[in-house]
Amino acid sequence: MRFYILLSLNALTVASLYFLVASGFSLIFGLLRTVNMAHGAFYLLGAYVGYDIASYTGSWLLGLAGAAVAVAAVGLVMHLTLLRTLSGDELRQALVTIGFAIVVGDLLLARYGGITYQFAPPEILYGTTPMPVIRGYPTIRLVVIASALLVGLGLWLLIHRTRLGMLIRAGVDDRDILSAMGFNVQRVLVLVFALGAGLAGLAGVIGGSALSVSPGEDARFLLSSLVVVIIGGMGSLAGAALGALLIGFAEQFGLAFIPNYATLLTFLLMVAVLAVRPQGLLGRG
Amino acid sequence: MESTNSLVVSGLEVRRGALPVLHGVELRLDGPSLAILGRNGAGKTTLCSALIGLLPAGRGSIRFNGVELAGRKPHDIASQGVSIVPQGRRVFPSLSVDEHLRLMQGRRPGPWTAERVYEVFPRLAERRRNFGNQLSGGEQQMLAIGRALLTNPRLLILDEPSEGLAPKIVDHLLEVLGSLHRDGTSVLIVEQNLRVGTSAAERVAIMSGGQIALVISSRELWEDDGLQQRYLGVASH
Repeated sequence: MRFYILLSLNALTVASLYFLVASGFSLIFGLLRTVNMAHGAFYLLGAYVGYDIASYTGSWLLGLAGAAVAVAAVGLVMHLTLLRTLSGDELRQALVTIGFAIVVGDLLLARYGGITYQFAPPEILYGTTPMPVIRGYPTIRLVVIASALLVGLGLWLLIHRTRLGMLIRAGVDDRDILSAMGFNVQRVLVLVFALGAGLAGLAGVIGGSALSVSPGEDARFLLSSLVVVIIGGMGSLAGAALGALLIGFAEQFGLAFIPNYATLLTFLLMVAVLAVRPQGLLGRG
Repeated sequence: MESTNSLVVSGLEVRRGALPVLHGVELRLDGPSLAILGRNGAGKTTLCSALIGLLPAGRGSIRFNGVELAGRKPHDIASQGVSIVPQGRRVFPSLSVDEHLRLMQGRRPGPWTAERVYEVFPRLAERRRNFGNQLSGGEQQMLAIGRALLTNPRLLILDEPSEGLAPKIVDHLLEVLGSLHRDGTSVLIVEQNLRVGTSAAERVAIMSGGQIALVISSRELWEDDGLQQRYLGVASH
């Protein structure tokens, strides 16, 4: 019993991280119709920037906020300079984001080297939170789960309760008609792109604190985001949550019971979804 | 107020990808309304897309009340008072009826408010909480028209509004369209259905092979079976 609860909590932690990264990715995908292949780079950039700010100021929270803002700004500039000029040409946009990701990845490698960094979160996040049955669970992992819930709730409110949210939903549904109704869709796109990038930066600090920061994490989280969106359906917040949960559980339970084939399980899940519902579980056809 | 708008299209050439579809369209709308009739593939929907800026004009000009629209972005054209009820309705599936109207309301000054849309289409008021994909075809059409009217347009373009709708609903829509000129809104209605096109406007432009072949009064076309056969491939009676 204890084992299963622990395993489930671990799966929830991983799923939360995946959701934090993939929610922004999915929004961008749904609205821009562009696969932002630099999303993993945004994650890693956020982790390093947050690490620098946190070490310099001694405040983990400042690192968190600073990373989100800085990466959002990078996303904004990237959209304005690189993507906007290619608007309407999704393939080229995707290729440009790959190039951007490679450049950012190499710059980070040059600056921080290949070693692994470990965040020093506040004392209060370091310890163990007492829990029934399993006695205790690392506080930082509970923080990861809580942040995913908070971000999910915040995004849900933004999308379903605000005017900008209406614009985002309408834009995901039918960009052309939205612009024909007099809305400057480009302005919404740039906002959503910055928001998605900022979320990835935020996730970088949270993920870097729960795990660690090292080169290669960018590719890992880009891949997981892609799988989450393929399973959940692009542009759907609930889809991103569902996809992240499925992958988190498949990965952790797979590692526990069939360690040799755990990775395979994730992709089997993806293949199954593609075969039955190619638009994703909660995506619209 | 009467509608005194003028839309002048001249020498308009438009491609879809590599394929030229419009070959020098000449069109004039003065006053309350004009219908464009033509067979499938005559270029009607392409013309609509070009008018609202969703397809770029390769050549030619589109002047609305003296302002050149060719080359402008769709949202810019919308701010000049041109709105569309697109073919297939294209309401937003993930917005509720009420959200559609709230989103559009109050962006351009004019007589249309969400309340007025609900008065004109009481059916929409009953479906206020339903999402775009939970509506019947007729309801979607009412919503698409309400959405366009809330931009307080001076020119309303409708692309095949009668497609797939019951005659009773079409008659209601025609009645609504017929009253728009009192608010100074002109109507450009694109149709395959001869009855709808000729009852919506006094004059009809017939489109064929990417050009305007003929402009004629609705009554004349209605009474001339030969013309109908030739350009529309239908007999009306």
